[in-house]
Amino acid sequence: MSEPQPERHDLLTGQKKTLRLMRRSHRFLMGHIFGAAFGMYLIMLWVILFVVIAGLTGTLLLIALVLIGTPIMIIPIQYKDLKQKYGILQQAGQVLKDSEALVDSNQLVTGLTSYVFLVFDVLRPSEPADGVSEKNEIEDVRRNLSNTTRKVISEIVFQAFLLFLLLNNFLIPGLLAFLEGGGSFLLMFLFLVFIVIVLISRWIVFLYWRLLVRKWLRFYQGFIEWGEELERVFSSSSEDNSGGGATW
Amino acid sequence: MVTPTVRPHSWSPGPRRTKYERWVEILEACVWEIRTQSWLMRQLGMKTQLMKEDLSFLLDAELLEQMDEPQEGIYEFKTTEKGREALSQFYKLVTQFFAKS
Repeated sequence: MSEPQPERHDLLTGQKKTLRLMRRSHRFLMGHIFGAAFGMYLIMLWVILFVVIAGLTGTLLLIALVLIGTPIMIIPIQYKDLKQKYGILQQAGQVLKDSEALVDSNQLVTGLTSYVFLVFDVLRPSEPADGVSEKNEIEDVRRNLSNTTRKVISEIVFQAFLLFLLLNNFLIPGLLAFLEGGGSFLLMFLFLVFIVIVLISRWIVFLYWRLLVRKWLRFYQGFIEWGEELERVFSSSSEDNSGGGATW
Repeated sequence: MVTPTVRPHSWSPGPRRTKYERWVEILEACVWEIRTQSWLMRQLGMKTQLMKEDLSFLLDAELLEQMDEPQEGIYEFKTTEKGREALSQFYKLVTQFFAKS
């Protein structure tokens, strides 16, 4: 290939940087899928421990049973979707790994395209999968992206609200009940602090996840605009040039 | 546009694709080597009718070119310089997005 070396060097440097950022983003995406699958079980386990340590009774015990039962009902519903997303992300990870290997040997790559589209598969809303039967596919995707973007803020606020309810109506009253019963303050305090730190961390991860999704969706919007521009420019040019076309 | 020097990773198709995604994948697949229609269909997991529609657009737009006359009904395609430029715009979009992240 007879490309100018400085231009090649710039592109290679840009690709290295892009791959580093993609890797960081990818780690987070994988972590989030794991977190979504196992995070609820972890909370369920802590609630059980809390019930045992604090010896909860009455309303608090009822709340605890709801907290324990919810993941048992939700996880099977989420399982298929999470499994599919995890599979796609694994495939994307392999593409990323191959691209990194090429860049590390100072070769230019294009596997980035495959990676980006695989991440789109994970992030875009679940819609009919068969592209053949879809009508107005671009409009459908655009509408879904717009709806998802609107949901982001309300979801973050809702999660924060749930966190507040959990603290205010369950953990703190549980702690007080335990102390009134003559339990060890230090033990319960440490347990509570641990749970609060984990819950807040989960909320921060969720916040970052939603912001990341929104950012990807904006990028997807930019990609659609790129495609529309391509279609507009080249459709009009091919109308002017009536000769070409497929010959089968 | 700078021409990459390594053939791309051979990817598996995702569960769903918009036509713009399919165009990028076809253009990218044909940048490196001349590809047959059946190779593209197999690698990109596309059905015949959809592939014909996409190839028709890309050929009409001169983003893709058909190599010579088909032999034994096998059609071969290659990305044109115009197609490479369009692809380059897409790569810029990707780079800009991650640079801002």
